[in-house]
Amino acid sequence: MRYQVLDHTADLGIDITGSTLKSVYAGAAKALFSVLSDLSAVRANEMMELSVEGLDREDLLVNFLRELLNLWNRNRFLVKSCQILSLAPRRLTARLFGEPYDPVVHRIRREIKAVTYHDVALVPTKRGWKGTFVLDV
Amino acid sequence: MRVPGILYASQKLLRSADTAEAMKQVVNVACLPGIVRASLAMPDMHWGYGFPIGGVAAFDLDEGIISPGGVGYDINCGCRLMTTRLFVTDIQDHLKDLVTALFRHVPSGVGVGGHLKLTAKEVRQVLAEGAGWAVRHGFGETEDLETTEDGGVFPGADPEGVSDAAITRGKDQLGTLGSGNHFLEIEAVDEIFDQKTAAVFGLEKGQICVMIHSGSRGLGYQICDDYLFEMVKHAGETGIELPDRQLACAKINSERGRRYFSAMACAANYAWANRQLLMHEAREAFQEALRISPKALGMRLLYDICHNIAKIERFPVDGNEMRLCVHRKGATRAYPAGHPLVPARYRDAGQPVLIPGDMGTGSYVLAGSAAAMTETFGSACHGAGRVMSRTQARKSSRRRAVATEMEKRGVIVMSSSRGTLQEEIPEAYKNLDEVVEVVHGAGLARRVARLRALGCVKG
Repeated sequence: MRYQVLDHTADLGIDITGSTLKSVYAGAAKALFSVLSDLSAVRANEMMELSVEGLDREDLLVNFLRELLNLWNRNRFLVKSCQILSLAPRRLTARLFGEPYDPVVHRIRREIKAVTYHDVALVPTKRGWKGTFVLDV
Repeated sequence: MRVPGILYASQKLLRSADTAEAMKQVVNVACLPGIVRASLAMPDMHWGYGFPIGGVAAFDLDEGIISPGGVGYDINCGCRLMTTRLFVTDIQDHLKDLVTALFRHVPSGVGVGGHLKLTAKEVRQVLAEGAGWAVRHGFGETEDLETTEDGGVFPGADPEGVSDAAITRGKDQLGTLGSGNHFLEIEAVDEIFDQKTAAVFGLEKGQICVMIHSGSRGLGYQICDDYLFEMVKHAGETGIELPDRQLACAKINSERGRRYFSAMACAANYAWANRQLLMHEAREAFQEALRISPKALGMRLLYDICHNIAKIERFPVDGNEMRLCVHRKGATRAYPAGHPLVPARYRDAGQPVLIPGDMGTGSYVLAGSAAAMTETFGSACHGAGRVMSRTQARKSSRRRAVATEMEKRGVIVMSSSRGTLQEEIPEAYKNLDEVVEVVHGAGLARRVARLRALGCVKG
């Protein structure tokens, strides 16, 4: 999985490429938390599972990322890595590894206001899949 | 398109920025049901999500829609300008101390909590009462409310429609600046264009003012997110074709539309209470750093204006007065002299329009003009508007000491994040003078004064 920050005037666009759709969803989770924090300081001490539904693949991606952002906003939990256990067009289950935020250890890079629906896309490529989403920062 | 798209701009502004994406968004908004007359874009327009930033759109109350994305995540993000009795000579030797005191007193940056820790019940009181809640608890004066847009309280705010998640996020963020483009700036009146109106607004050359830019914090983001999710989920039921899900909306007169409107009003009230508290914190910082009394400081609220909101307002349309739902996303109200909603103190001059510039540039104060009522649903621009993405700005300032550069220009800047300073470099924004020139030239609001920055606290 690779991700790249796109030029979007007011907000922050992210492109993720992966060989499978699952790897793009997992990569999106990691990209979200890389924007938020320096993940090299986050340890995979705790594990949790998350199930999310959506109207289609794109909506599922937005809802997945919204739930992940909620983990940060409500529980102050930082995700270091993610494994997609099951994926259907309208539902996914993910296993998340990370730890609760500790201001002494972790650096927060920026505030993410929200995951938007704007320009969200999941498209097949020659080598797999590409996902795009825009964060309001 | 149901109506035309109208962009206020100059040749120079059009040349300075790529407007293609934002224009697409103007077109998308023009396709929404119940839109009246035109999808408008102010000269600071730039590419947003869903609606363009700098966009204004009014909708018929029977046929029209309300859209959380048309208001934005930061509901009632806005500006507040305070005047003081101080002049440049009073503070120039203490500027660094003053900026440091502001940085210490005013919580800013990512995830930083405020001095107040509220219970859920208290948050709900804030949501219902707005800036009045802060004044009632000793954070300001009753006269502050007179010069806050709508008296600092949005009628019809019902906390019942606000999720527990949003309430929780609101508990410890009241009186915090936030991060990104939010700031608190010490400014001096540099140039006066309209002496008579400046006198009515209480502005004189060399005078020290304070500008605050902040909004409804996590509580507002959560409300927008909650309702967008709901509206996207039920988009099929409305029969409205959406080119972009971020435009998800509900009929204004539907149960869902009314619920969002009421929850949005709650966030607007939280934002007004937040800026009232920020003003109080700024007042304390000034008094402490300069060792002066409240009387000697004489900090008064000139005006507080919101620039991310949807409001039910009255406008003449084809010779008839209509009640419309006006979305302003990165646009302000600009009511002319004589309008009943202009505070009594300013009624003969017109409503103050506050337009902050990029970091360290300063701001403009304008007064609403008559053309805004007939052309832009009583609206004007809200700032300079970005031209550079945050990534571009970071790249172009990678090896630069932004704070030192600003100091050389005579502006003391403090921020908890070096990255924020890089993203907010002056070149990342349009030329403020040019943006204001367009608004002034189009007769939407007239120039009253220009303020230059002396010190800035960034989130």
